[in-house]
Amino acid sequence: MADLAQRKPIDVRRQAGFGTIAIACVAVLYLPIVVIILYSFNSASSLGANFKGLTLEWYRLVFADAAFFEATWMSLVIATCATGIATVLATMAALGTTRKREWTGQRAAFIMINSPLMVPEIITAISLLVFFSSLSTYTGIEFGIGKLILSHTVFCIPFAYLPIRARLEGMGLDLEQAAADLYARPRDTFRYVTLPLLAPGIGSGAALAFIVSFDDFTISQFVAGPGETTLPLYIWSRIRRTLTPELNAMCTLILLVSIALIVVGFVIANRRKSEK
Amino acid sequence: MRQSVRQEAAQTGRGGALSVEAVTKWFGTYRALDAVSLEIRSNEFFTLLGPSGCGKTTLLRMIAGFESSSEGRILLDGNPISSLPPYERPINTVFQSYALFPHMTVAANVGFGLKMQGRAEAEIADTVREMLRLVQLDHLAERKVAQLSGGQQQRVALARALAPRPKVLLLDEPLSALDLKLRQAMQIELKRLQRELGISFVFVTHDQEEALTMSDRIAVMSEGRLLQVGSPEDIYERPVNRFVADFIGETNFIEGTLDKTGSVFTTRTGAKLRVGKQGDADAGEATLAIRPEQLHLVKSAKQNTLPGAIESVVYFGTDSHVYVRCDGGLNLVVREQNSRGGVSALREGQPIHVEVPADTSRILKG
Repeated sequence: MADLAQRKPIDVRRQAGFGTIAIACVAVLYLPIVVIILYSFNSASSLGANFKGLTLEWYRLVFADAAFFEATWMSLVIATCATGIATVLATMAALGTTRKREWTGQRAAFIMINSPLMVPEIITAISLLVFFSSLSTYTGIEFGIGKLILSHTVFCIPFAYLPIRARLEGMGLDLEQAAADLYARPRDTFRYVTLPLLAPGIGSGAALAFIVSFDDFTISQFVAGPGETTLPLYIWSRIRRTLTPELNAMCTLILLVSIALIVVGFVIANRRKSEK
Repeated sequence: MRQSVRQEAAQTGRGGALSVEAVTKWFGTYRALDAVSLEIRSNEFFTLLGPSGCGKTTLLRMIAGFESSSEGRILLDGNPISSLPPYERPINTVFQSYALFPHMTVAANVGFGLKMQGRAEAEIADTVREMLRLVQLDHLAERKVAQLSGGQQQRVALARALAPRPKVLLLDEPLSALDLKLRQAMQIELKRLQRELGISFVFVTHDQEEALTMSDRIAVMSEGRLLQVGSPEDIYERPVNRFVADFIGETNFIEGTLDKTGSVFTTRTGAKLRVGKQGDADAGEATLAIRPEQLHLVKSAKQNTLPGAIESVVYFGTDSHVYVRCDGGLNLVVREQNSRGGVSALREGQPIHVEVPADTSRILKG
């Protein structure tokens, strides 16, 4: 025992080849992004050409491209709506699966809520396509952008659900019981105790759902009707026509906005922590 | 300020009286409580005492309203409360984990109950200030609870539960997380608050010393059953059975038989002891229970003594525990005051006699 206690824990950083593997992994992850950023300033006029010289021409073209902004707007609207609906549903589902006495079918419900994570996306995509087109055939109603919002909501739910549920499970029942003990009706317990404590979980669930929706290609491709072009669909259509370095500039811009959002989120979280 | 608290307590009447009537609780096939009945009087410091798993916390949670009873009912001042949710019972709890709201300040925690009762802002602010002064934390009102020490959090939990002036305060092992010194200080503090505020306290603990020093009355529980209810003296000096005698303080047990008159006890080795007080035993197989401090060491045999030899002497400051091996494999512990002298002269192996005074021994079943 003494021998075991004295032995140092295995330090993974001292294993042979650790540095090389780590650098290789980071390179595989980030080199393509670095290349895109660099080539967005390349003055050569095709996507994969040698680096010729610096230019901002591609950015000028992107800013002049109304379709790009329309697609971005479309993606933002869909992601926002889908995230909102999915987060509310996921919060209710998380409360139902952690704050109630164990009920028959609870495990089945858990699996069903998370099934979009396991069912291959292409299957979900085809089934949604068939579902909406037959619904339109029978009812004669065109759902327009609603189809995309509902479809995105479906696969956003598990992404929002998991962090919220994890947070609820970590909270225990003590605090809510204490609130009930201090004359808080169930509604007030939720408003003053459960919800404020759950907020970080809801926040990360919503952020995850938003990213997944904003990024989605497969399902949007199947479900989207004419004129309902999301950003990934737009970029894809551009690639099929001509590969111009404009695409590099678009991707760099999207990347820039994402990084800005992450930084803002980080600063807010840090300020909150230091306030405590 | 304290004066006004006391006045208000007097105005709103006295602490609530609880009746627990034949309450049984099943968890699946496990019976956590078995037909427990007890009366908790108004303004009483009542303790539920027992080892972990005896059902004391389950009973407390039923009084609070977090658990429902399978059978039986609970009344507060004569009104059944079993069907009321926790937020409709004028009963507050100090949780073992404190369960303070981490996203609120100390003042917001203490004021939470009043806010939920819909009291006016100004009244809440006044009461919070008063309560924090009562537990000596008024200088920390604006802190977040995570910034407080364990002892301070405990006081906030207490102030929060007292602020809405409940009729009954439930305390679930509230002192178990504190170190010895702080625990002793809080024991005195709790007792003082209970007297000043005129609230009935129901205190749950597994610590018999804590129960003896603080309580007006104690209920000893084991395996979901109520074994004995009584004052600390009753419980300590007149335990009704072997479990209570063993659980509360140290006790020597001598096995043997009781004669028909109930006044002579014969040990396994045939020694006859005259006995006085009776527990739950009938004539026949019985156990004599006696506290270590009630036994005396004497040099020579006389009436009511058992012969033996000193096994060891353990020094405890004010007193010493003398372990004596008697005939027939019987081991007794005798507590002797060191100030009376003579203890330091005892040597291991030395023959000795243990006197079992008739007036302090107690005869129990089996």
